[in-house]
Amino acid sequence: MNDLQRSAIVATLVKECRARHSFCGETMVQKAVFFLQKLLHVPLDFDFQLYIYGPFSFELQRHLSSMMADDMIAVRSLEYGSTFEPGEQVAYLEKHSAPTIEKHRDAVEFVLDHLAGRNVKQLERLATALYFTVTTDDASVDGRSAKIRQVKPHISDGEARQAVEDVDRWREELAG
Amino acid sequence: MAKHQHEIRDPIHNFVRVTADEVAAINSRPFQRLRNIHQLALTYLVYPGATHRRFEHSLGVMELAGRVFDVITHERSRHPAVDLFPDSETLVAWRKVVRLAALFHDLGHLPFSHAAEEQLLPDGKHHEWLTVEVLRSEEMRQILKRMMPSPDPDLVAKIAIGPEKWGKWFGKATDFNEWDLLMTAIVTGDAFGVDRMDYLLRDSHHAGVAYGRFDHYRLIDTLRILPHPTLERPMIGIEKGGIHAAEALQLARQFMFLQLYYHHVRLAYDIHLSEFMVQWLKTYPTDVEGHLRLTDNEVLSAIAAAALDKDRPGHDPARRIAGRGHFRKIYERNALDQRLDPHAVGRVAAALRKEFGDAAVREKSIPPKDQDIDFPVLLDGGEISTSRAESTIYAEFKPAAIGVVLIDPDRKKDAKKWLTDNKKKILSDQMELGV
Repeated sequence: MNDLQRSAIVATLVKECRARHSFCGETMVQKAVFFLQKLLHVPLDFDFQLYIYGPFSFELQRHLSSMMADDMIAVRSLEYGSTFEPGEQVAYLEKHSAPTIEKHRDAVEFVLDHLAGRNVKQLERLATALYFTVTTDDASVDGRSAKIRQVKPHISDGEARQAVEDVDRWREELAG
Repeated sequence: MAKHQHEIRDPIHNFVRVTADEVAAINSRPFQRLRNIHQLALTYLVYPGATHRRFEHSLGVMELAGRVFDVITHERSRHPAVDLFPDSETLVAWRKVVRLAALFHDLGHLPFSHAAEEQLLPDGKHHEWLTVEVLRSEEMRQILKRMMPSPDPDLVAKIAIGPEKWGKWFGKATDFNEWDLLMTAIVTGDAFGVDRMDYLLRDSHHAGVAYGRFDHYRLIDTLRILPHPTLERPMIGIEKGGIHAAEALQLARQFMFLQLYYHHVRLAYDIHLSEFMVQWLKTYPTDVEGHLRLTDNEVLSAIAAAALDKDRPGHDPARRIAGRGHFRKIYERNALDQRLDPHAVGRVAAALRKEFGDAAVREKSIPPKDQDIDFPVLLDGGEISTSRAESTIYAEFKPAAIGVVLIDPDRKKDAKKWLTDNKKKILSDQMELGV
């Protein structure tokens, strides 16, 4: 994908998330894009690294800044934090990248169906569970939960297992 | 008796206070090399006072790092919800690590700082990669080993370059725990990193541009480690009383980028300098010895020689630098054209290249440097809010991107007329240019 197409997918994600009246802060965008790439195989190709707060892409962070500078997205302060909103130039993206948006619209909807409305901690856990699901040789729930807790020792075993089981269920949903 | 505390005069901080161990670090060959690396490359050809070097900037960063560390770790400053602070002995060791990381953060800079690092370093590496290589050298290991306590060179390196680059080139981003992330934020942070604070103050002072000033005394005194209310993680934030100083820092950065760092003539010289260095050096010596041998002095000497001899590599960019024959601005990013087409700069550059040839046109597009800065703010009643909620400056902040198209001065008159006649068509004829 070129930069314009990447921007079109990210802007669609933001627009659809806000259309559901869900908060769409940077954590939401970061984790949703990670799910788009790794679970739905949308070829956005942002470079993610695993941090103690879950997978994060500085490349995506810089891309979001560029999109703000180009008025493709904007930031709005709400009582409980700041959220991205579609910007004035979203129409330009929709006009010039319509086939790309249509091709991946179902993927965006799937990710939002499962992530929209979740809080930061839940998003971090789920994205970390997906990270170990796609990168580790040990496919067992126990193995992946243990890895999550190595990175994020403050979360409980139950929370780690639940995140892994959620990711497995969504993968089955997609496969079926 | 040997002195335990030394003072170095500094135009920004009055005194930089250093320990005996830090004097040894300052006297090291890799650090002394920074005396010969200009902080702002060839900016002094536009702002004549901007001849300062990485050496004094690094001293200033260390001074500020110590001040910030002392403020945010002081027992009186600690927020009850943040339970991360190590014992006092470990804190002393950390203070040394953070100050050394600040002192050494620029050891890997190529001659003329950022000018040619993207073109000369392999595999997308940046100067931070060389910073770590230098810190891992036997020479630096021995210097650190003789200190009391003796810091681990890799820990100093990790704090100096931050998780993104450390994770990409040397280890994993998960090598940083919550405390490590706070310590590296003192040096490298987007919101309150002391690298940023010092370069804004120092660059504005030397360039004679007032926009970079802000009340850093007030700002530093009000910094605190606070839990972010929505991200639910500890971050360096600020007491409400310091929010105006923080806003001034944010605006200073915006103005300095627009006025100084991305001045179109400076960008033209950056392009000529980068082209010269690539043609003259071909590849950069990435071994530590080779890196330490090259400074601005060698490059300036080579520019002077190449400018006079058309058979030498890099003659054309060298003569432009030496004789003020730099490319001139013919087009720059603007809101009206951006609304028509977000890729207006690229399209104008492509059209000019097609009409006047590749050799006559240069384009420089720089994505915004500022991220969406969101940090916790401690209110007078003890509640914690955020920068965006408490400040209209942060709430309304929009990152600024730069884009400029430059033309050979010999073609400027023709190109200007041609662009006036054709710009409308260029911006509406998108497919033809294949952008």
